[in-house]
Amino acid sequence: MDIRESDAARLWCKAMELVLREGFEYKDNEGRVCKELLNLQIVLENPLGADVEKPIKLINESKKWVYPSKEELVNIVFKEVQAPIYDYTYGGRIFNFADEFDQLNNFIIPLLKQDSYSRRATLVIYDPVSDSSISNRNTPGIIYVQFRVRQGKLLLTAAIRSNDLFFGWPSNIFQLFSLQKYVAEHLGKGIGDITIIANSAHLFQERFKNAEELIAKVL
Amino acid sequence: MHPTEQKIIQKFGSDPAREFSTNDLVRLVFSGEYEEARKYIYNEQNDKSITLLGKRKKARLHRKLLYYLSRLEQEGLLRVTRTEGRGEKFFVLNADKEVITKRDKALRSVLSTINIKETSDVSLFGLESYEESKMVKRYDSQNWINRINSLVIESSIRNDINSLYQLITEIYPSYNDVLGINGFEEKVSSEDLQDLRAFIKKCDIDMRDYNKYLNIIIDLSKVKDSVKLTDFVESFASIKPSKIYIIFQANSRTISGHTRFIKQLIKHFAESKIRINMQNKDLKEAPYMIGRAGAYTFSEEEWAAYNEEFKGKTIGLCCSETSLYIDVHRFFRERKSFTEFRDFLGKAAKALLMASTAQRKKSDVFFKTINQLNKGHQNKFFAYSFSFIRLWNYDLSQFPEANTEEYKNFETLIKSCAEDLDEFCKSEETIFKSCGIPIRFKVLLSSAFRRFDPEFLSPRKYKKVTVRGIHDFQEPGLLEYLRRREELMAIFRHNDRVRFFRAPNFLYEEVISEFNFLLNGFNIPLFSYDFKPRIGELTLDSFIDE
Repeated sequence: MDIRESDAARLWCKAMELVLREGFEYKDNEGRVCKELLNLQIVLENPLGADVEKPIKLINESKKWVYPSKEELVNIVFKEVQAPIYDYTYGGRIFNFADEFDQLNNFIIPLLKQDSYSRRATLVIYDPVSDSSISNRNTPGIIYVQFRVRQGKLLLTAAIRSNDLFFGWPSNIFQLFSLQKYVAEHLGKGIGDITIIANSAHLFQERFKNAEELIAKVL
Repeated sequence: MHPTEQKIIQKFGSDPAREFSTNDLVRLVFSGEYEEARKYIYNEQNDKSITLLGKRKKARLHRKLLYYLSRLEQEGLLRVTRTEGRGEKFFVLNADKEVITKRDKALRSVLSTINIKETSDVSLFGLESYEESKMVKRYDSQNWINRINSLVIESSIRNDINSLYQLITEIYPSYNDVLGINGFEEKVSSEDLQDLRAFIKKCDIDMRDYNKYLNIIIDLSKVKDSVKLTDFVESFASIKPSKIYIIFQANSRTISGHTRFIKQLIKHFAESKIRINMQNKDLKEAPYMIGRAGAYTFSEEEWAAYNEEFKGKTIGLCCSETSLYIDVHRFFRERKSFTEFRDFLGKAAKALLMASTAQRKKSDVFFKTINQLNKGHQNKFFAYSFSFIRLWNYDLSQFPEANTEEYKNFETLIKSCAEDLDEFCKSEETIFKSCGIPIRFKVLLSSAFRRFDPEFLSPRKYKKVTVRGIHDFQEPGLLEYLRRREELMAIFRHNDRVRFFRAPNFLYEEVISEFNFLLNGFNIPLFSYDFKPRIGELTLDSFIDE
């Protein structure tokens, strides 16, 4: 199942609407009721003109929650030094995987510079050595990000194992767009579509009403 | 520039964001002389004249240091942040560059090696007006985010009592309320009584110096040698430490198995007017701590997970990171509305979230020592910690001015507020995890202790309970009171303590029966028996009063 849009807020609301309408309802391991669609493909076309910050603005308008600032969100993705107090950080995994490997600058960018049609330009955020433990519930949502260059544009595909559409997706799209811009600038390429494969696209029951209100406002 | 001034500035420079007490500085600046003074104070012969000499030496060092500190303060290089206890001053480095450039050449050269930063400060965003009206206060506002409130360490993490003491001294700068030592029965059985005695004395002096608390947690079911424990308790009572509490973990079976010891415990503690803190192990396995702010504990599931997964890999566990205090009586005297109270708690939770995220961002700087001690498992040490909103004077029946129609009692209101807080925390954890910041964020409501800040808090409006005998527990008024405390215990996720004053002239057996009654009959996981008399209140009909 896939949905496409060239406006980030509309795409977000369409995804939530779909989950509310067609999602399978169940209780998760923490006893929270949620609606879920498996393997939902959410495609943002032409992200440059899609206002990727809009979903965050819409959440912040409610003033009910504290959402990290845009600076913080970018910092999370680009800060390579991970404070030991965190189980993981995206920046740590991207730029200093296993305390030794910069996946973006030492692999993705040089690879795509050399072979722009490569299908190998994949950075992995999930680390089985530290994450794959039955008791560990703090594992990254984004598993991998793949970059491909087609028709002069950099395309980005990300797989998110567990994607809370209401709270998580707005930051995911914003952070992925920041990464895409960084790589595109280094390669001198244009910005292509962003595809999120939400392995579990879900909404928690407590947020059904909030999602419905946003859908009514945006769509 | 005087070498002492230079040394002082260098100490501030090694940790520019830190607030130093005069005690910290005496230790650091005159380390050799300070150690010598301590040797005199804790002389092996226990000679009082040598102890006195040591105390005089220590006082001389304080006076000498204060002379230079006041010079640096007058010149604007240091700033006094607060005064605590018996007039102990706390200082921070003044980050005002103007002041620095005016200084002489020698000092400038020292300062040029220091990376001066502003003292870490996270304001109470959205709560400013409440703060001005003294309805809310940060716990240890100067060190609100650069110190954790409470932690528990495992006694077994160090082989002997001296190494354990060394570890505790390393941890002092990292917390601002209470440190618990879990499994101390192991040290009681393996260490020499004189060493244990010296340990208690040293720790108590340190705790008084730093205005912090130490809790010794003893599980009676694991005590192998009750004679040694009796000797230890007797020794403890003779020292009568003011900043160290023992928390006994027990149930009625262990009480029966240690009757002789319990009798001795009651005898020695009652004679020395020391409180007996009893944790009901049938209700709660996770350890308790009692500090200046209030009582602390962990969730049962998380304590079990700690024991199963990483006990021994870390020195212990952080229990509480940051805390706020709300004077409920003052709030309702001025604002009255329940809706506003809910809104107020919501804002308080947001302020704690900001503090918590700021604390984690700078954790490398703030908790360097703790991180080194937990190397390889730093994240685990903070895995199960809480932030607290502690409530003072919260009994709505004491507020005739408040419209209580909406909520019949405080329990109903607070239960509903606690649910809101849970929901907020869950949402925030989801938000931050989704954004790639896997933070733990849990805010708990709990009760505040008056000693947190007697000047800030409004006069006590809640009830104190005196027990004269087991028959008092049959009184409907007391039973009703205890049932309410049970309800509150559940709402506060057990982070509370019920305190009883014990009327004098009792038989030890009577008190043991009362302990058993409390352990078997109520869902109160932590209670304290206080043997200090309550002035003007000893009759049965006033066993509960303000």
